[in-house]
Amino acid sequence: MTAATPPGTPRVARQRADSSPFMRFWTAWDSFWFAPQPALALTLLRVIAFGTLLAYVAWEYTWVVRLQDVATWLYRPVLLYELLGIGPIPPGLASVLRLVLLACGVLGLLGIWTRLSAGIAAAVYFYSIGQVYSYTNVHHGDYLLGLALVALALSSTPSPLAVRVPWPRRAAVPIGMGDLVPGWPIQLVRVQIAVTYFLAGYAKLVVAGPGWGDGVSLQHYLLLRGQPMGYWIASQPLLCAVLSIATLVFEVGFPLALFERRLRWLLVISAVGFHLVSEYVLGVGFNFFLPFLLVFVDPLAVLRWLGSQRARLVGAPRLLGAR
Amino acid sequence: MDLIPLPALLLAGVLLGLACAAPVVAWARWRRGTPGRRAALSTGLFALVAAQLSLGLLLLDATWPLTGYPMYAPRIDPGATINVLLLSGTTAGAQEVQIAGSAMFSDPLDLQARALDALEDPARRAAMASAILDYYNATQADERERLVALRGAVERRSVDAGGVITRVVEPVFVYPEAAP
Repeated sequence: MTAATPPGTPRVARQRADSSPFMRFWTAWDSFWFAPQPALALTLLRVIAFGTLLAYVAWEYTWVVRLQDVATWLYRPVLLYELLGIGPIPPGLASVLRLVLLACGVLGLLGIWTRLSAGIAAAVYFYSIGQVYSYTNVHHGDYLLGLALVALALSSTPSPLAVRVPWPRRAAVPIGMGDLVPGWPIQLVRVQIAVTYFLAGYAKLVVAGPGWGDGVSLQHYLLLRGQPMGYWIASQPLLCAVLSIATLVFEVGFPLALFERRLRWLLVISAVGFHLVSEYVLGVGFNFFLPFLLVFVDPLAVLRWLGSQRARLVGAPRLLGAR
Repeated sequence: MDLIPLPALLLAGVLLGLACAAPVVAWARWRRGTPGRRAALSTGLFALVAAQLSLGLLLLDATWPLTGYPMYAPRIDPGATINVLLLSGTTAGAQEVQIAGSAMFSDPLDLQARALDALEDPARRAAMASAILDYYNATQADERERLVALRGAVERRSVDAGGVITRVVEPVFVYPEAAP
């Protein structure tokens, strides 16, 4: 409370009266994070998160199930597991957890018990990939899905586009697609994507220096990964230098997508291209990260554009008939 | 840690300190009139982003799930040699099979990261080879497709300044040693 605010002043009035640098910072911070977003954008995030979770269960979870066949002396727990005293996954548990993830994914996708489903799925997902990382290297493309699930679990905004259920829902006020809601879960995913790229570029500049852009390191990483297309690119030093510089510029510059709407499209399309090329020439898949790039898209603007295109198509025969 | 420039090190320290101070900040905001839920959520987001940035600036990889992103960052000097583990084996049905890294873990290089050092060390080789054999066989329903012998080789790959690639394969081990 500031000295100018008398005791007993209501909380909101006190907040308005407080214009200290401390509160000014937090006002600016909150206006970034809690800027309203259309409810449709939050629904899109929900669909992406639970859809990606189901894709993870279908394509990647088999590696968690197979951990029960790995000799336990190969288990080297990640630091968090070591601190928490978590040991190797017990035989049979992975199969049970797969059913849990599947159920949460389907329920969340349908908008039924979304927060509960997201919370349980996040816990199981982090446990599962932590188990995998305790036998392998830590991979960096998997964290975002867990974070998105945590955000959905903590978001109190009711979800539009939810399937009707026969039992009464607690959310009293129905919400429309265009209604504005606190957009912090979307901002959180956007910020994490930007931070991921930026820190990857930062690491290259700090560890290797600007010399990373000469292409030599990329040539050797292509040899290490051993993809057929990668060998061809590794044999083209100039192309490797161009790709290396482009990678550095893209990674360090990606945070601009958070603030510059005009650059956003370019950076997001570059990100999609970056991952597709990485998958093809390096065999490095960010399959559970890539779909989240859609959170940079304004779904209402897309719907409006689709609507205008539809109107043009529907109107075209009339115009032809009138001629 | 020696690699990190001083300004980045200082920034990381400040951010980590602010992240740790988040509960106190949330309490102070609540005392100044911010609704409790908003203060907790907003300050929690600050702590998360600050911690993520801090660990990223410090290039820490062991602090999963919040980590730095140093993958593919190390500089590799021109003419360096890249070693890649190649596995093959003989099945109970006397078939020779190549074992792709992706048959063992999601990322083909994960097995190499954990096993190559041990396989190149005669004292630790047998235990590691036996573990790999058992892991591979656990997924083979047909007994004739199970491995009875495992062979390992290292392919040494390099590329010169003109882009000419050289690949040399060197056998490393046979397990069990009596196997042909």
